[in-house]
Amino acid sequence: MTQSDAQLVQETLAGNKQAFALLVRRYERPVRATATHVVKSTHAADDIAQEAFVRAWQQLPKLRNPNVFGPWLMTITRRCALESVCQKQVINYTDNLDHRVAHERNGQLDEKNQHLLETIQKLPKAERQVIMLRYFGQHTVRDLAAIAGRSVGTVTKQLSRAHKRLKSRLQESEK
Amino acid sequence: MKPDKHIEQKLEALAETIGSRNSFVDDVMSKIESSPVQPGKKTETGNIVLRRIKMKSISKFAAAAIIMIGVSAVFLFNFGPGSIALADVYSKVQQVQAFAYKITIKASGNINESMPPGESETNTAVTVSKEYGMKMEQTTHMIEQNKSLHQQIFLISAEKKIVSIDPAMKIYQDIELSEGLFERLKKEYCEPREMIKQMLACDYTDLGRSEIDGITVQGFETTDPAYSAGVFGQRAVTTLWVDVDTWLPVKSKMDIQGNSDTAEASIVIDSFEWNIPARADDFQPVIPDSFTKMGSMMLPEMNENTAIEGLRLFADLTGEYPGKIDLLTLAQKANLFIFRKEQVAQRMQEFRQSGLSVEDVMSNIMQEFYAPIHALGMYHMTLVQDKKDPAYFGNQVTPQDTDAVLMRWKIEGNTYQVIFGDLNTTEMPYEELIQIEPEIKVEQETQAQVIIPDLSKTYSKAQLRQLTYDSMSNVKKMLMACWGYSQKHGGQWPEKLQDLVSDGLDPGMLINPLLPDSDNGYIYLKPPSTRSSQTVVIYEAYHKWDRGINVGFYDGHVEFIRDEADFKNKLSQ
Repeated sequence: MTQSDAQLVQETLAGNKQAFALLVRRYERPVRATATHVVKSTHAADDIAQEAFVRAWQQLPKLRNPNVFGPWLMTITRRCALESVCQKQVINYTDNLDHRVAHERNGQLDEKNQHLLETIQKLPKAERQVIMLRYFGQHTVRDLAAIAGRSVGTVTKQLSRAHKRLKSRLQESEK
Repeated sequence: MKPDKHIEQKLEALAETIGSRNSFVDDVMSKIESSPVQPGKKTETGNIVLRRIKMKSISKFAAAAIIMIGVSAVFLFNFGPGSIALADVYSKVQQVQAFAYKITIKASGNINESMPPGESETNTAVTVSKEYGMKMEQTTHMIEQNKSLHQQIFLISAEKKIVSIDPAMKIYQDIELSEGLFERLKKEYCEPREMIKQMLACDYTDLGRSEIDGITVQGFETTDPAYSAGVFGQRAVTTLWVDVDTWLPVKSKMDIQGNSDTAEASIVIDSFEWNIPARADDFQPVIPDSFTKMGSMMLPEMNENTAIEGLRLFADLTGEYPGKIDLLTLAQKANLFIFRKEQVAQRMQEFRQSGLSVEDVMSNIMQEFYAPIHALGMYHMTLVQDKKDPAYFGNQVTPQDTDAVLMRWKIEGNTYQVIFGDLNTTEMPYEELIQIEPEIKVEQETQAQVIIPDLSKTYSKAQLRQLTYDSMSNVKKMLMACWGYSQKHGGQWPEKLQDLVSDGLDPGMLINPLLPDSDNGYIYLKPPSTRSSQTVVIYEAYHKWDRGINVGFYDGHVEFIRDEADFKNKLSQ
């Protein structure tokens, strides 16, 4: 049975690092996506994603509402990514990666994907969360409901609204 | 409303581009494991057993159960040679069918090798039945975090297995025991006759009579490493007090000297109840349906072959043999490195691709990589306990030293079994053996006792811990200032740390709180043009290596490094 984010956060705080590993697995792609949106490179996003999870781990006791772990994690990720951009740290991003990562040369997203990612980032929080987990995390709607601690109906509606909003905004930009 | 197929396809294509990485989770967890900053605290606490539960899921979970059973068994009864007094204790205890006692462990020590120490208190209630097995209810209070953890451990005789349960996390694990291991544990735990026999092999001092809670007792004290099965070397001083009227144990206390590798701890065993009623049901765990099983693990036999397999695996993974092979050191080392190795990551990937659940993947990994190393430690423990005169030279012999003696122990009379550096074996008389085996180097832990560190003389443990954190913070701030400096100076790092002051850094940050009178409390190494995230940039000055130092790296992270060789290795890179 899929455990909710809140349950995994509580287990992590109780000392179960494996619970946090499950959160890492769950949010790897959404975090990569968020980092990629800022740094415009899937290669660079790998290190930032790792850093974001480590920071989240360290700051977990400060998370007052474990139900909002996802959005909170994305905030940390954006901050990490922005710091990385500011510091322009020189890191050899190509080391130690095995490679389902980044099909594009140098890890750069093409224009269409970059635009899609930006559009996702501009969605309302709840819709952005379900889109990311649904498509980047490859979770079923039932899983999404369990993760968010909400009903399947609520999540289905959020997903539906997110699709509609995405479609509309993408169409607007294509005009 | 059905989702728009076109949008879905775009999202799926984007997700594919964003990608994921097979070893990503392991990489993150490794970073977390070695992170000097832990959630909400600068340190994490827990006793030498509970630490293993918290540190890394199943490995700690399994190790905790085994170590708790093994270690507390030897703490309880292993005692002195054939004095008349202890022989009387032995004759009394052997008649007992079921008994109970309590263990209190107060520990302060490191959670892993990159962490400063913390403090904890663990209270365990143990019930033993010769017929049914044993059960332990254990609660650890982590003092600095003001948190408690609860754990139940059952050794079930009928099923030859250990069940470890964590009620808070709603998880449990079965650890199947090989026949030999089960018999060994059963003897140690459930057969007072065997336990006392074991104890009678140790050297001890008679402390004479005294009084505990109104009971007249006779005291005995030992530092014989065989008592703690080599787990704590000679760093453990154990005292046993026996009721002079009943000749049954009243209290046992073990003080363990801390060093850089293991925690300091005092272990008190008391509140004995003898000949208590016992029912089979009392020794069967009750596991609610909502609890998740964290896979199963089978612990191999403890013999020469499994020991060799453990050595071979360790060498395959690390390129060298473990420096020491006592159970705690091996458990700690294995916990630190197993999940960072490429071979392990590959196996995890294979297991995942075969469709196993996360829990089963972890169990398989533990079985394949952890159990053989654990078996090596267990076998060494039995050799020490059985007074087989074992010697191990892993700190001097490498896999390339094909003809060097890596390990030896007595098999009978004057004949020893020898394992060479290439893991071939032979029998050899002692006279030949001593001509070819390396000299036994003084163990680091013994040296640590002899060389009393200046800092320990100057500060209390709590003060040292706080100052270590303060210094770690200083190093971190200096690194950040270096990065800021390089931003302003075209990527150039400062020539010396004092340059950071003119750039706005608080000059107090340059003072090492552990060496407040020194103007050179930190050593700065300007990063060379070829550098990596692991390039050492700042470290605490020291005259003589003591408990470890804080080290700052080029990528901005700070580690508390306990091992001097490890530090020098990083420095040389």
